[in-house]
Amino acid sequence: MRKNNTFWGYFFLTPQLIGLLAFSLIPLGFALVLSFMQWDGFGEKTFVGLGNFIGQFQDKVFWKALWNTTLYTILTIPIGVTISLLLALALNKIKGKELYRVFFFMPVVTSSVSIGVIWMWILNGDFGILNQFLASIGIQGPHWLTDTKWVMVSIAMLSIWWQVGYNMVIFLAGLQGVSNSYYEAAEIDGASKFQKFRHITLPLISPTTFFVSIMSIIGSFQVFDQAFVMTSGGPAKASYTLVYHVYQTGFQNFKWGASSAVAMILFVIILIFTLIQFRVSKRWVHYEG
Amino acid sequence: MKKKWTLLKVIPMFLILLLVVSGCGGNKSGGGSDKTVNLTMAAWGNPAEIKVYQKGVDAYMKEHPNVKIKLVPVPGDNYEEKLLTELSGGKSHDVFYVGAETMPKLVETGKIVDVTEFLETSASYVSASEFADGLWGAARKDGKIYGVSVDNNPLVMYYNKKVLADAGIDKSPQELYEAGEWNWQAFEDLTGKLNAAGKKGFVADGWSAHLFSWAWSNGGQLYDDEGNFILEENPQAQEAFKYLEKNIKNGNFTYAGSLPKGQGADAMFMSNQVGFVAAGRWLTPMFSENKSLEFDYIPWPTNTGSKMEPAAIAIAYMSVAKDSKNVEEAMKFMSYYTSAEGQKARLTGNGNAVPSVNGVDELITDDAIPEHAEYLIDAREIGIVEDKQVQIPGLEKELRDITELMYLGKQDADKTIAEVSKKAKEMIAEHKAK
Repeated sequence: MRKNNTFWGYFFLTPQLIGLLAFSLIPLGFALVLSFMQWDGFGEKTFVGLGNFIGQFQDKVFWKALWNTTLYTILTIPIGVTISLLLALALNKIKGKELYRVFFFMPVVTSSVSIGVIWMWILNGDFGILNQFLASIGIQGPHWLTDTKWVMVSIAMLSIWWQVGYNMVIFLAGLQGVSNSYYEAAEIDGASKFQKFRHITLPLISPTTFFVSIMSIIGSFQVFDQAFVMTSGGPAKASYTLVYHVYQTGFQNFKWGASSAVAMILFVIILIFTLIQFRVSKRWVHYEG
Repeated sequence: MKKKWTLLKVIPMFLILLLVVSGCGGNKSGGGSDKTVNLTMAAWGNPAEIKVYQKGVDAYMKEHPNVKIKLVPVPGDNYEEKLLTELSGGKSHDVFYVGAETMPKLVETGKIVDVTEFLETSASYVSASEFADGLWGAARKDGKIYGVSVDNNPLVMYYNKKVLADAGIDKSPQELYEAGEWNWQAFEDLTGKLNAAGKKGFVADGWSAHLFSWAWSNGGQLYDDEGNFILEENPQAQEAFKYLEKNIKNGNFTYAGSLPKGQGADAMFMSNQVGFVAAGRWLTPMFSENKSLEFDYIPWPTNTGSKMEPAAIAIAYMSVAKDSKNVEEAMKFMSYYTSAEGQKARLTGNGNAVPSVNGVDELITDDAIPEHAEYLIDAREIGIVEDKQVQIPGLEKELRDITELMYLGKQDADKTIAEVSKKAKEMIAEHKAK
């Protein structure tokens, strides 16, 4: 009887398991193996040991991509997380919360390609509405997407707008979980609004903040679509990111080994960041109960 | 006894099941002349272009009722990736369009059929000698032919007559050309006048076909016959960089990369915002539909004293997959599609390209608009399909990224030349070492 149950358990899991194997685990293993090989997609694979990794570390383009990706992370995470938290706080107690939530969430469910195309119009240097607005208040806006200095800022800007709804919803859920009794107790003690926020809200939603920042950092290291659609990594590689480098090296230059090596490096970077966060989190994340 | 169904046992079992279900099935029969033969053909293109391709396919099926050909449109953006992935998995279409830049890679893989011999047999609708020699590009390697051009697009300049007239230009490019004065200096003067009149003179594109055309129109070369990068040893090609730098700086040329998508050179040309754009014939269907737009072609301006110098030709080929189950029939269809008959079936009445095969040039010269359609033929006869840079995967993109800085006015020509040379030499050396 028990044997049968286990069998049927696995049986019903198969569709998912096959998917996981075929689209995640096997390719992942394949990429790991490939990162030690030289392969152009056809013909012989040759084992080159750590050659692909050494090659990347000596490649200026790799460092450029790494720097761009880091810059993007620095630009998006603190601002993005702060804005989502503020939005969540603003929406937490107001009427019609559901409606606003939908509004802010809408960009999240829109495809990155359509968003890219729309923002290309908004950010156009000559007649985009952003620069027209800036001109109306006397500021001469830059050529957002074709200026090497501004392109990463532009992409960061749209990504914040794009992702803020998602993080906001998570924060909202976190805020809903904070019991009112803490605030009541604090009020009796005469705590100010800011004190309540600083000493009650922030500590109690710290697991949410932790989750949001980990997910955001992972996501930001994987930035690709926006750059691909809007700038093709340009101008002059100013928006060329790590995942773009993976794509370019593999799909365009047919160096699958090197491409996999970059993917593995990216994996390690994300892993390290996540581990550090877990480490540091012990100091500031408080789990109830 | 209890038997445990552990993951370790279950996974292999299902993998086997998967293999059985997905059917490492038997060979489908193929081949006999009386039997129905099914072929699939992959090509990129917008809906209008796909309709044009379909004409060529239909014409063949009409002549061969036993052959069914399915045209599979693939988005152009990742056509190359898709094609290569399918070929590498042995699951490709029987015949497919191949871009000039993908051809070297495909030849290298050995996954496409060498059609040299077939083209000379009686089964073929076309022979290799019916194509202009300059059009083979990377499709011919060591005397062997791996793809036949479906048509081609030599680059010429389009000029907007109204914009030029409004800017007070009294001597048209056509008159200058006839007088043998259609050169870089004249082009600079004209675009300068347009710029002064508040219009854009010329839209310069980062696409390397433009760069090659500028270098070639000055008698310069970027690559030698062995495919080495020789920009630093070639003053004429360097002059092309300096000419571009100067005209970008003084505002005569506008960089296409600074225009938004959908509001590119073609749209600006139609709304009388720009005097000159460079393109193949693909803009003509749209431009000629716009009755109020007055435009004509003029060859690429030269700086050698000659009336005309080679400009770049954009081209696509059709190749046959080695793994096809009906290689013979696929080759036959390919030869028809690229033959005079096939090109006529496609290019009649539409005309987004120039025939690559001899004997159907009247398709172009019969055009009422624009007046000097024959320049397309002239440009094809003298033009070049670049076949050195395309040999190095990714080189185009790298060089484009570097020259883009110059087009954006952020890097001077000398620095650009040095950077481009360094990168190109690196990548070529790496490729050759493989």
